[in-house]
Amino acid sequence: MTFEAFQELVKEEALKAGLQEYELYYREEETVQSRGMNQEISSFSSDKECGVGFRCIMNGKTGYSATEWFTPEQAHELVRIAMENAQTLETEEATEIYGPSDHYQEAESLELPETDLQKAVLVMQREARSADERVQGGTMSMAAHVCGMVRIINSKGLDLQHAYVQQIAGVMAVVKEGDAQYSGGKYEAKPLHTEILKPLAQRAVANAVAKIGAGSVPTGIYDVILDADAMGAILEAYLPVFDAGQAQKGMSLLEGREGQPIAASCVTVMDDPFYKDSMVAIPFDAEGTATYTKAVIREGVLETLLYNHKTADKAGVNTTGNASKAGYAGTIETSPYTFYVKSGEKSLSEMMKDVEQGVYVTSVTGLHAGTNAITGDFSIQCGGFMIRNGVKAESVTSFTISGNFFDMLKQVKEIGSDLQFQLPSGFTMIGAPSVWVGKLSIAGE
Amino acid sequence: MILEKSLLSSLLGRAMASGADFAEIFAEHTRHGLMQEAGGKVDEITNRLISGVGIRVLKGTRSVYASTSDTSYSGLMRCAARVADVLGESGEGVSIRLEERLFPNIHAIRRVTADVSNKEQADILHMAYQAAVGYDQEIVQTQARLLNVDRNILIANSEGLLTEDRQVRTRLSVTAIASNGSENQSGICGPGRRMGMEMFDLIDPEETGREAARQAVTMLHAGYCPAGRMMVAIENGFGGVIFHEACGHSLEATSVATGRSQFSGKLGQKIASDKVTAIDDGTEPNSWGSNNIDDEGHPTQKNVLIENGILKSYLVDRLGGRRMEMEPNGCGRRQDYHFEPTSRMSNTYIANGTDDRKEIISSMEYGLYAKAMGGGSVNPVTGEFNFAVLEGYMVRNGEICEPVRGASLIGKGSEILLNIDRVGSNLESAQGMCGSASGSIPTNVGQPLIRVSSITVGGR
Repeated sequence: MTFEAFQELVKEEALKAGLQEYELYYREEETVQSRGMNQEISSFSSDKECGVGFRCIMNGKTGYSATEWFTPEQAHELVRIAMENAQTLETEEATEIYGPSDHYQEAESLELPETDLQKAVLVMQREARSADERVQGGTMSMAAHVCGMVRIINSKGLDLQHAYVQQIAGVMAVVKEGDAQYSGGKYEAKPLHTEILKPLAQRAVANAVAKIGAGSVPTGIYDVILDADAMGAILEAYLPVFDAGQAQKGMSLLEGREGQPIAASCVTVMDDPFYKDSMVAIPFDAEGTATYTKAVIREGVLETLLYNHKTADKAGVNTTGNASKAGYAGTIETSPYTFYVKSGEKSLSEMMKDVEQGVYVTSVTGLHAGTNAITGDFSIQCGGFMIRNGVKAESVTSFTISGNFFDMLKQVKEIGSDLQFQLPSGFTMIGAPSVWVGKLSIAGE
Repeated sequence: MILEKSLLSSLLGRAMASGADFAEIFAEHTRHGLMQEAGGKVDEITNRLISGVGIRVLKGTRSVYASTSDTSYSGLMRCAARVADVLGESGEGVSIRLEERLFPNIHAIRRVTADVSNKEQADILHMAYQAAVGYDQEIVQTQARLLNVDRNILIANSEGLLTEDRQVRTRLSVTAIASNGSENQSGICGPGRRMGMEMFDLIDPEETGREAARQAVTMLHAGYCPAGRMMVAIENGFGGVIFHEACGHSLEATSVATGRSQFSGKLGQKIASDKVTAIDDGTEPNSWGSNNIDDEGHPTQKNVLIENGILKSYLVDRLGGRRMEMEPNGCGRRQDYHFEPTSRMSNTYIANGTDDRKEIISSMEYGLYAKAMGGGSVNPVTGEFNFAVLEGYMVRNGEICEPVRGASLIGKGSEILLNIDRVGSNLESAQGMCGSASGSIPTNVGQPLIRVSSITVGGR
């Protein structure tokens, strides 16, 4: 059964059950992906998912249910389970289903090339191998094309839909010298034009080669510059601290800090649902509210946390249009869109000039384990380079940087000009340039 | 049966039509349920039905996979045609004869959690929540979650296998936050079993709540862990994450077969201290990571990976087995039908040794006692790993001293295995979700108290 037919059945069931307020949140997404190893295509996959989440309001309580199986029985079950869940809830926080916003800004649709994914994978395989003779067969390359659609229909007359496309390519290079193997990767979400593939493979190989013979860092306190990827990954790990819902639950130390300085004055962080060329542009949020561009931190001052209707009502402010769902089955949460640290003036090498002795971090791993968004504490495994007399020196590996995210924000010395983005996740994409974060504790040798 | 036998035969035949030498269908209907309590009230309940089919074909060591939630006849046929088309020119369909085969159920379930009333589930949450909140005045926030899965799978392949399994799991997870007004520390406890509600005959929800709270309060009063290389004793239970991350992932065919593992080509060689015997056992009755069959339809096995320091076996799935010329050993797993299966761990542990618990600590001059470990990750190519210490204590002159926070352990799998100098005898396992190429799956980690002679501790 198609979604079109299924949603009619669900509406009938809702009517029969006497529901006044409800919403259907439909997502379909098709991902085609090719992977290569040993100069061959090793796997090819195609995944199509269609699912619908149902949300209803009963006596001020919200009930949820979701399914991927579009049958008449499931239409009945969807409504029954959501109502039963609403009745079990013990919280009395009022929630509503909202009608359409007055105006929706248009999200420019992105033109993506019709890339042959298998060819792209092989181009990257060849390029990686020719980049360095130490590159091994286990070097993996991948390319993916995603196209999807989100549609929201509710009892307040709202019916919105938005289609999106994304392309992602990446290489995980393995190099060998003597008995030791090293790996380095590079992934990017960009239109897969042929000209971006070769530099991407070269960059992955360079990242792996840099680790050959890497030394250790003596334990101590150092000036640290995080490269754009490392800074972006750390910012991504701390996204929950900007969620008003987390703050209201006492899970974010930014609770009650709006309007106050929380970072060095050179730090501005934007949340832009319409960022040019972004693969995650979207004109409405998961509650159907119009999205808009805003500064979250402007020149060090926390201008706003991110709100959906529920958390905004609780705080007595307007929603920032950041309601989100983790897929069709998710509950209403909060996420940013294209969320990035605004670039500064200096290039990476200019920024380094002012660091007499320090560490330049180019890879961070295990962030899910090494960061704590509740306390802000982190202890992260890294690789990178020493900085000596203002220039990049020998490569170093297997050390951790430790500190606290909130302290780090305040101690930022300088922001680079090389803004880069992480891979998209849902309608969120995090970006940062390289950042001199001041002094951090390093554990190494 | 999720799909009719005759339809399965047609789909396999269609998928094989362009010269594949193997085809497989994985179909599932899975109910996921989550109930959450925060602030003393049930504040979130979600239920989700996942329903879909994944079709895989192999030709030599090449694989093509397609999955769809459209389980109509035409949707499934399109899916089968899609995998065939990628391999080459479609020829005649192949005729596949399927024979139903049910493997013994070694994980009996008494009360499927998804079928139990919301009220009964909420009662469990209330008990856990109240116990955490009541533990100490410094506990300011508590979140308790009850998760359950009722996974019904079907596997059919071109070798004629047709089998099904029902996999029921339940997990209670409590996060407690202690605060002194200016800083927060968290504690977590999350027991789970391949069981229904009968899990709570074994596990006391109140004890789960108290344990999370105890950890949070302890860490609130802890100073920062000093950084540097030192001797570390790692407690049982979730301490087993060290083996899981540092070595287990590097023993999966996914990395071994492609030459990307530090342990490639080392079967029969000494890779660990003599004291180390490590096992992956998917057959443990009702354990969190157990199954009757893996997601390729092989019965699960008890695989001895390392015996007295010697590498005995890898974890091998079907495709990995082709690449390595080895037989699959029941470890092909996937999160759901969206994922192609690959070699994964189930219940992995370091077996009991003979060292005395008291001596393990009393012979430490200076070091860290990691009582509770958090999550971690590893790069299988280099074996470099890191994991967080949720609850640690300094050890001086053979005595466990003050608690310390913010520590992480980093190192290389191959080195740490050789540096294990003590293995105690209090083996216990704990539950986790393991993320890798085929998604997020339930796995147990476990070990007795062990000691590593030297490891880098990240702290400040």
